[in-house]
Amino acid sequence: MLFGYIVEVVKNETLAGQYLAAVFKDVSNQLDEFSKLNTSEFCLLQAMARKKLEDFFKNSNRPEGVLTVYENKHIRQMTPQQQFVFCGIHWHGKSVQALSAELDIPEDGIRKILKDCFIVIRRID
Amino acid sequence: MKIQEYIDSGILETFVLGVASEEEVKQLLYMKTKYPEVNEALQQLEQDMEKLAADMAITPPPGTWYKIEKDIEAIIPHQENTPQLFKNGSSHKSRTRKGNDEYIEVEGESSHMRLHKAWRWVFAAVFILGKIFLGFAIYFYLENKHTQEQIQELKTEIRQLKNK
Repeated sequence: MLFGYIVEVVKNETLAGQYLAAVFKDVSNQLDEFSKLNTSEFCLLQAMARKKLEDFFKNSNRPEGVLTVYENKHIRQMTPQQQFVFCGIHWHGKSVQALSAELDIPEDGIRKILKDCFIVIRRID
Repeated sequence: MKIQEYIDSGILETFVLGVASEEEVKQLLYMKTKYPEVNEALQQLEQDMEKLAADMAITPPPGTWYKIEKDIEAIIPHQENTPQLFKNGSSHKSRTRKGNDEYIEVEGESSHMRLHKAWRWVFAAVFILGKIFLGFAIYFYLENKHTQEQIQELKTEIRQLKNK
């Protein structure tokens, strides 16, 4: 699952493999986090991958439409604005502040949109 | 702030996506431990994320896990960490195969035994009772010896009286 996320971000399986290895190598340093936070291991791994991908997010000039996730059944059901916010944060590594400025919507509004995105994901099996 | 308002604010979603600020994370961890509703909502969101990820999962190319394993092994100093017991292989067979089932054979090396602390009172009581019984045994032994001596003396006296 984590490999799928990284591939979607970097669009290169070899590079994704390297990021995946980097994440798992770092797990031993994050064992405290795993026990302390008591949250889903996958979400923690994904957060770790996200941190590793920070430089990639900053340096990548990928256009918004390049993601294949738009064909995903969950993403497809979202409105264009929801897609922009959800994909922007999850796969383009944008912050809530950046999206707020970009869309000229208050940060609370961005969070509300995110909430609606999860409602869509939950609705579809 | 009311709990439902907090849950509806979207902060949980930003946390799950890894974009919550440090302050938000701190607050969320506090709320999560204090209010089960927050914890429940968070778990639901994590499940949603896993559902989405599972839907888009890609199998890594063959050899990826081997490479990761090798990389991890390279950063673990095995020689120092491997217990002596397993390094030598000595009398222990760590793995045994019987039929199709592989299982790990466990054999205790230590000659020590672990007991519950409550047993120390039992041992103390047994020790004290032992001492008491020993004291009684010595006392009755000496008492018996003394009585026997007295009987012997009385017998001698009776014999002397009969002879007179």
